[in-house]
Amino acid sequence: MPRLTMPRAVALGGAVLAIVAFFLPWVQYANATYSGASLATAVTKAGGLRGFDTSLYAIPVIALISIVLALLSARATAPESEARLRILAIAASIAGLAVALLFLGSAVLGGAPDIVFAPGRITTDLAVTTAVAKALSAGAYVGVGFGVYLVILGFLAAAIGGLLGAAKTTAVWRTQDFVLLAIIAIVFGAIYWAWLAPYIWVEGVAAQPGAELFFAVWFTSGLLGGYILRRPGAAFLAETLTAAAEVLIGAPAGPVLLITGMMEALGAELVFAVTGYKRWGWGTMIIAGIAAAIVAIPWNWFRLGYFALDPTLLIALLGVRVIAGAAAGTAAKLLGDAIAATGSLNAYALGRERVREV
Amino acid sequence: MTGAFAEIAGLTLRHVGRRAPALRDLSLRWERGERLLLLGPSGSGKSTLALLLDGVIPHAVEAHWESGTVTVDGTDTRAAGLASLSSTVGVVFQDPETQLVMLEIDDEIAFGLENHAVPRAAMAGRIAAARAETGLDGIDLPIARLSGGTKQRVALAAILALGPRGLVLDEPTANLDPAGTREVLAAVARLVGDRERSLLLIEHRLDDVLPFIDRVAALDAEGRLAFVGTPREAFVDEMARLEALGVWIPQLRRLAALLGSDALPRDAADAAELIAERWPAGATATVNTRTSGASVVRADAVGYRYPGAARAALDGVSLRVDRGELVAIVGANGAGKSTLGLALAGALEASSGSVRRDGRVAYVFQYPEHQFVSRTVTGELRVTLRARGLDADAIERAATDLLDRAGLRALGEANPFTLSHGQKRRLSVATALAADPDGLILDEPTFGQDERNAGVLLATLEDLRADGRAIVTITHDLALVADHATRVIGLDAGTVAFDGPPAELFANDELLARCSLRRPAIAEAFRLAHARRSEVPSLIGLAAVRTALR
Amino acid sequence: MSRLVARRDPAVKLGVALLLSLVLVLVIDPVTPLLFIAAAWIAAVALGGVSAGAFARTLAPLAVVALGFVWTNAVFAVPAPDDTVWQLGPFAASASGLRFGIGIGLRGLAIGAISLAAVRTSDPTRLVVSAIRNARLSYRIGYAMLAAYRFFPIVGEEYARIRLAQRVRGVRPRSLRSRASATFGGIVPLFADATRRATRIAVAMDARGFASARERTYWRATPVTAADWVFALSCLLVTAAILAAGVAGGWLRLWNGRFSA
Repeated sequence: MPRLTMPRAVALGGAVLAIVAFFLPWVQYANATYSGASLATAVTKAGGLRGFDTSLYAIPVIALISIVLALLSARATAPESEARLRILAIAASIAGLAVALLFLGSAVLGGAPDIVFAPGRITTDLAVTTAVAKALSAGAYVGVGFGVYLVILGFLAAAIGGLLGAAKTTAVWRTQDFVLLAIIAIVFGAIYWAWLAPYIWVEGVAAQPGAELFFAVWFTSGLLGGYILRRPGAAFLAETLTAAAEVLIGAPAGPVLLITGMMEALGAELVFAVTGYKRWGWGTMIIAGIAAAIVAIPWNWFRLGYFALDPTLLIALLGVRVIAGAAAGTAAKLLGDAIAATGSLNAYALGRERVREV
Repeated sequence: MTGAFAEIAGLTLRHVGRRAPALRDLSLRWERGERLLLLGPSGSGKSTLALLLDGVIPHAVEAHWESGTVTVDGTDTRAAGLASLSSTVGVVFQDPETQLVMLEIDDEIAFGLENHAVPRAAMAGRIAAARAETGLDGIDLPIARLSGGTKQRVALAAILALGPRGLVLDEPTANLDPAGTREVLAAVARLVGDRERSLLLIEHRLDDVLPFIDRVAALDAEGRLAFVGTPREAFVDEMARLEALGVWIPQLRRLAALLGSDALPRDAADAAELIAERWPAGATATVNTRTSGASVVRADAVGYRYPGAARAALDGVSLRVDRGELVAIVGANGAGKSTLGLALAGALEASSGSVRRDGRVAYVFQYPEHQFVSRTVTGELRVTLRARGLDADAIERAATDLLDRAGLRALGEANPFTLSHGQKRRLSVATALAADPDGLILDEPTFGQDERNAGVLLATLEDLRADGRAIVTITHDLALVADHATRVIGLDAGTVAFDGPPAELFANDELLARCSLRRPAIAEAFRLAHARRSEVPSLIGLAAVRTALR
Repeated sequence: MSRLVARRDPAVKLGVALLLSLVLVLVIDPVTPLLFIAAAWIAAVALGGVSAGAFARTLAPLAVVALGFVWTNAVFAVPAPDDTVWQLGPFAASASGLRFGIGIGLRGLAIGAISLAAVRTSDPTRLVVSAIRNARLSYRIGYAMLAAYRFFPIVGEEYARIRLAQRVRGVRPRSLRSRASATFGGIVPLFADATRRATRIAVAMDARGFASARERTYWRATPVTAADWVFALSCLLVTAAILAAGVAGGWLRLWNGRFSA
């Protein structure tokens, strides 16, 4: 029975955190805070479980499922069942993550009544308004509490832990794998830092959408690493190393960039993990790119202050981000295939699939 | 204890992705304390052998080990660990850029020591010793600021610090300019005195290393052992056979052969004695320095400064190249040779002065990969042919013709990057010719080539020259200059130090020093011979000798 | 004195930079980041030996990005009513949005400045080795990064050479589409070359015993001394002081779950 390794501990800890955070403040209103638990009970009392209100209970339930699956996976002896259970646990964590994000989104989009809404906002069945509707009608302010963010963090950790707990078994990392990712990281670092610099005015004109487009270059590095090496952790390491390369070469990036890199890579790794690191067609790469773009959203939420923006612009940003992600996936595959065609990658997984005896 | 330091027995090895084995049924003994020279044409498996001896194959690089064994210092390399093998045999490769991994010299030398868990207290002494052995004491620059020759010495020091009992040098001077080559060969000469260490040398600049070689082994193009024996047996008794293999022969030995002698001259002085003895009276070769007078490219006081550079790369360069000339541009790395070539071809706009071209001038880069723009070999040719405005039929015919002449017909659909070095070079020359140029500028055309391929390329250039085109080669290969150039231009820090016939340059010690060059072996031999016997002409290369003796 | 910061252990500096950056991520007013930028400037230029010009030049692109944030947030942030400062056609800039935008922009600059102060006052080799020895960075990753770092200055030159070579072949793109395709065509040989180098360097490293180095010793001494802890503590104290000043001065605004400016 595999012992409780660090990644497994992180996975379990994350799920536990999600449950705990359910009882922490989720919504602030008029100097009072409401926990997720109290909102859930209020909703049930108010009108029974229906529609989106069920999401409030979904969070602790999903977290519980994730914990159980993770524990079962730790106890499984056969590698296939261990992997399957772990992937299910990861899937549960992602589902929980999605629900939490939806809650966040709905709270933001539907929230504070003392702010003029831009036209075209999306109306959803808002869990939060059911609970504090009365207060809202008085025109008071509602903020999202740190509990929600902790839930998000918890599920992310659960997903990360599950992923990293992956096959230490199969692929052995060789020096050439590390050096390959490091050199790709340096080249991307140079590309981003030295060549895109002249185009920085794009970000000056349209900061957030511009930043989104630049992200496409970012994501490409991690996706390329994963595409070439085709093993767990490759995309993650590639992206992290690219961020590290930026810091090392003295770009004004900040080690905080490492966190951004890791988040993005996580999304890609999730997609690759779901395909068992076996399918590398256009579909996988594009979806991985989009996943990388989306998973990074919560972190960028803070880092770039998206939370202040007008909902329409936010939607537009998200759209640009998804497109950037898809573009990154496409670029990574194009580039990877082109490099492999030159025969330079014969020592790596991508090159090996096309090695024909010459 | 028997004499073998390493023994290869019946080895057949195939690389991943190749159908043909790199080495076939190879059996070779490398004796303890011996200095063994390994020769062979390109692709014969010499570097593969080097990687086998230090255990990189099979431990770090995969290969299909089809049969045979490799035993180093009594241990089978497949059974031993890479750690112990790497401290028993050290290999220095040809490209300093892909061997050095750290930013500072001491860190680089210490890297191997760190990997072998040498206690820190012992490191300082070993680093200092390694520096002393390679003449690096006192050099305190970061690695990025070192010259190619110094970088190679650092790589050598890093290997020596591990105290290997066997040292393999795989073409250590191939990527270096003449000054760098001298630096490294001097360092090697210092090492050969130590008979505790066995030395395996893969080199093609044979005249410089012959004095310290005990035995010679040669591989053929299929990776079989074609010859093993003393230098005398190799270059005198079996010279014709080795030549047929495509292997480099020492220039001075060829000279002796032309003089009908069985001698194997050790150095220029030896050869000079031979020449003084045997040179037939009255035999001489006149050098034809007449040009057709029709200029293809002219430079007038051309200057060029790279953006952000401290000093100008070119300063007041004036020259002209006429049809029917083969001009060589020589000088140390950084003297501005490539910049001049690019300016003459019109790839770079001169910052000052002007360049005038009467006709098309094509440029062939030193690294062919940089110029590949298509996914197939034929596609490369089509790109240039299309730019000439030919119609589709003419394009196909011309492409096929060029492929045939370059010997690349079978590889028409291959990706250019997957070609061997020699093939890539032939392709890049073919694409330049596809433009039907009046002038052709080549940057280091014989770089990385074995004797046969270099010979073929030079013959092609000769044909083009005789055809009335102007050829300019930027080169470090002084034998090429001596035998083929009608004129040589020596650059020194962006200015023209010399512009005239090669014989004049090679006769002038001061100019040679200014351009960081050394007189090639044949020229030196004749100079010394002329001093002994004044009727011996001051010839500079084998081509002249052949003409004179006819 | 002027090399005080430069002499500190790089891993410690980077760790401090990360911590400070995380703190800054929670700050949304404009004044606090400004104070951090000043502190970073002092650490880098006055105490670390970095040239003022180089520091400013490296930060310049971030300043442009900051402007973008100012603009976008000013106009597109969800504002409080009656907050409009400025109107141009359909675009209205709100005061709170403006303030928020400046805050976010300056925050980005501050995070960048802190990172610069940490990295530019450190020797790269020392940074990596210290991270390996003190911060449990895997030595295989660390040395791989160092080996790759050697190529950073060459990447630009190599790409320029490739584009030049291709231009000489007659690839002279004019339209946007052909320019994009030419750039791609230039990047592929660059990556092909880089990956081939990677394989060879890895072989060279393994040939010197890298792959099987289970236990390794280190040539570089990277001790974390008392001075380094004092330095870390001082940074934390300065941070606390800046935040306290913000509280006292009333300008500090932390992100508190409110999603508006």
